[in-house]
Amino acid sequence: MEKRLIKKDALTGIIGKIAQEAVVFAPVKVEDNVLFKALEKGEEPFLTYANSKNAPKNHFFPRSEVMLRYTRTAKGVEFAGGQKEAEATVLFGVRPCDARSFVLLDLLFDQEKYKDPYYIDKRQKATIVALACVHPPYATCFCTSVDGHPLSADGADVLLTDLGEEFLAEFVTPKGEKLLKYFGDVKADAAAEAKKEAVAEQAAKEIKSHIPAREVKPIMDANFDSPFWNTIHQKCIACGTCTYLCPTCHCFDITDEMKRDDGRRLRNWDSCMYPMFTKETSGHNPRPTQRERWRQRAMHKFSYYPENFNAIACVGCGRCVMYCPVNLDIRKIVTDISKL
Amino acid sequence: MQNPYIPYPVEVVKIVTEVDTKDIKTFRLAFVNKEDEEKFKYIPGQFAELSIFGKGESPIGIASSPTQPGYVEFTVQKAGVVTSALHEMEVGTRMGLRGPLGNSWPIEFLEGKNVVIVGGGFAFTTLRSLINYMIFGDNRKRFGKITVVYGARNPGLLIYKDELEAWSKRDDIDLNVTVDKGDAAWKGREGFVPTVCKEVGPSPENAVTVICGPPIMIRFTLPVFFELGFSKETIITSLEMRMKCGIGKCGRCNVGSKYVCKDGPVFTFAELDKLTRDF
Amino acid sequence: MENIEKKLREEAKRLLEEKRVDALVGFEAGTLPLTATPCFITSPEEADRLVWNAFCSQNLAKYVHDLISQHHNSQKRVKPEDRKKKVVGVVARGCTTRSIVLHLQERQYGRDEVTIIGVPCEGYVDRKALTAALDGADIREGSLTGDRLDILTAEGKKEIPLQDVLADNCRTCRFNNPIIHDVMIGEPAPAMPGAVQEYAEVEEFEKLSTEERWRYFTKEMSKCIRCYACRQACPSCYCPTCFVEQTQPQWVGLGEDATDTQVFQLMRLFHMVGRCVDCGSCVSVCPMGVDLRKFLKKLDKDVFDFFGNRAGVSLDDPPPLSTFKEDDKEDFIYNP
Repeated sequence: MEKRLIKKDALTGIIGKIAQEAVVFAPVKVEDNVLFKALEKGEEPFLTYANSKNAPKNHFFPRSEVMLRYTRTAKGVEFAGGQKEAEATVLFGVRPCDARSFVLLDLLFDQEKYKDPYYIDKRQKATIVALACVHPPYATCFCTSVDGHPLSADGADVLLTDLGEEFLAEFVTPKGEKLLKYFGDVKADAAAEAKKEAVAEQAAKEIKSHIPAREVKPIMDANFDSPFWNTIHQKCIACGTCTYLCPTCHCFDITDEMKRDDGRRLRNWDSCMYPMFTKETSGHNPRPTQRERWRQRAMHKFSYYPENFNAIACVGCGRCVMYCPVNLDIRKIVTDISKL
Repeated sequence: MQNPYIPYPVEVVKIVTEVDTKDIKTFRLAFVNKEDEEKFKYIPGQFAELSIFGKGESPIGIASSPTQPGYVEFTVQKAGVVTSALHEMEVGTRMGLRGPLGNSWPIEFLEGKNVVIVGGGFAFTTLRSLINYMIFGDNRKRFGKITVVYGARNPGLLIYKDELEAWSKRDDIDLNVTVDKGDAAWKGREGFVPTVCKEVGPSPENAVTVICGPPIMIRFTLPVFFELGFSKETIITSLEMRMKCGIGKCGRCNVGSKYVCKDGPVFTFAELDKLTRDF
Repeated sequence: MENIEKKLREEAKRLLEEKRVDALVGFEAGTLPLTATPCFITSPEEADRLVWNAFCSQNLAKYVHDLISQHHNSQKRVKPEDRKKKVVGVVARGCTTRSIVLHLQERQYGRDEVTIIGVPCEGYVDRKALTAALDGADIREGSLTGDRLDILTAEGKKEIPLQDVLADNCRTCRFNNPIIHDVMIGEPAPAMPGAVQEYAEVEEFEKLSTEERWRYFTKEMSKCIRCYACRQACPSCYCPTCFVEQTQPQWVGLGEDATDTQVFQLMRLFHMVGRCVDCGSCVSVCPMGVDLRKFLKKLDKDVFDFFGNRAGVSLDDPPPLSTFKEDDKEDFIYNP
């Protein structure tokens, strides 16, 4: 693996250079929000960020995208795949938790049977430059409980680690190595690697929030009908904030929209928190109340996904904990279930 | 990479209004491009997304049998946006068809066994596919005795009346059609499906039951079969859930860890027992 | 505040023990520093969970409506003589009681189905304002002493005056004490000093040109991710099926077309005319920080200017758009 050292103040310049050749996504300060978005001309990335409010998965799985276009003609409706060929992109400053979310989403969207071309196309053409959490930014960070690490390179093509005076850049994949030319020629020495080890150990120690995510599956499975579920959801207002900000949530809706003779089939985000999500035309709803919906969300992440893909569908970024308007804390739910 | 979200273009070539209430019609669809028919190779019990541009998609079980080449049939009740639009369609209209999707009736498992088919109301569509498949030509030899119990609320609500008539004339299929309540013209059997199943009393010996119908019918029919000696492993059903993608991605149709669209819709009751129930 | 909390717990315990309420909605401490979270209590032993402080932000009337409607639905198929009554208790400040008044005026439930434990209010902390005051630094620990917030972030200690981070709607609140109540805890709170400038911000906004106002509207709405948290948190948004979710016909597209988002927000705003109690819930729950209040407050001002009405401040003064007077000075109803 190629490893380089770069001066700390060189980073903005490197991003600028890459941006001349590819579309660069990076955290940007927009009013009071830090958003992960495409850098527009003259826009500077916000490099002292904790993490972006929205998840970088948005680039591969946007809130709304065209799946299909069609036109009404005299002969009937003619259609063609509306998929725009994805551009080459570099996602800069993805936190390790969010980079891991790509690995988890790959499991679903890039299965052996039924590949999702919209996701895969964008994913394949993107290079992920992750920025390690030398100091995990939030008290709600719990990546180490869900198989992550603040310095994990999982899902990243390049991992940048702040070593104090300089950044260590590790080129984890061949895709990442294509960016080598931007990072100068100072090779990392053994001292830098040792320093990274120490930083990693310290960073993991700084994570104070721990949940029994790995242990909870059998307990959840056995307690599907437990009265536990009768009360936890009560304060949930059934908004989609947790699912819309989650880096691993991937549920979607497919709808058609027609304007005069031009139509589009769209894929839009949907949320298991919404009553309409499973409501059938007949009026029957297999998940009739927020109780069943919350159980679904918890079990999908900590039981069903592990069962289907051998991975917990949570990266411990803490967004749902921080931004839930009613402080319905998934860490508490998992912890409480584990005690049943 | 083949895009599983893109439908094949098809044309409506025949429409049959199945019931007196006129809200259930069978649509025969033919592929606009011959090569698409080759790609759309299906097995009874599978379903497909009927795609109407400008309206959306609706997952519907395939009612025809692969032994009927040249077209695919769907029996659809008028209910939501897509199915209402479909009911407005005329012969010659073009639309889209995406699939086939889901698993299927377990044909290999049924081979060499006596097959009991129980259907209620309009949920008889993929069972019709299965029956037509099993009784087609040499296929018939691969299966043992075929017993069918099919019921509807009244005679006007029975679907596939011509085929029921044709099947009743065959001696290699034991057809029992019943209605909850007959009318003046009805000469057939009256009675609820569970009761008729009890009366017909198929032997569990080397037999499998395939059951599809409204939940209330299933609830009262299951005990009858357990009493007859059928095990949960030998009673098979097909589930319905709200679906969108049909390929296990959009996240809404799961029952426990299994997606009805991808891992189902066909399950044995033994399999369903192991799943956490949300349906 | 501590004294109020003590009395609140005692009162809640008494109501539950005497079975005068079947369930009680209040606040308990949250899992994050300087937060409180809605809680639901059904037994006297749980009453000690209740808190009342400057971090209680939600308008709990939303839950009162939810619980009572769920109960009504559950009784629909029960014979009239066998129907059970359910009484929901609620810890309510001024704006919460305004929502309850509105619910009563809109005949959502009966006065005897809700027991109001009134509490005085001096405003709640706007989480987004607090985060901004800390320049985005993560709060590790925090406490409120009098009017001062002591906060420990990853960057160090910081003191923030409570006044600086109060929600805008609280700062200018005219009705910080319960309009109606069954039990009142503590003494009524003093009037909020900003109340006299209730519409100052709107007046500034009104001075802008139509284009400037439209530009502001479109800019704000472009932040919306259609998570519907605003609608879900709003006690006045109680339609069983929101128009955005109707499919026959489908009124609004679900994609990212800016006009669809604007239509959703505009329709919601217009449904709020004369019905918004300025509780700030929609603003506080919005994950993207959309300035919804600017528009809601403008509508509120218009209703006050035209009809002299403020939503939910008196049981005798119904929402102007849902009432009709035979001697209406406008004769449109006779000569449309």
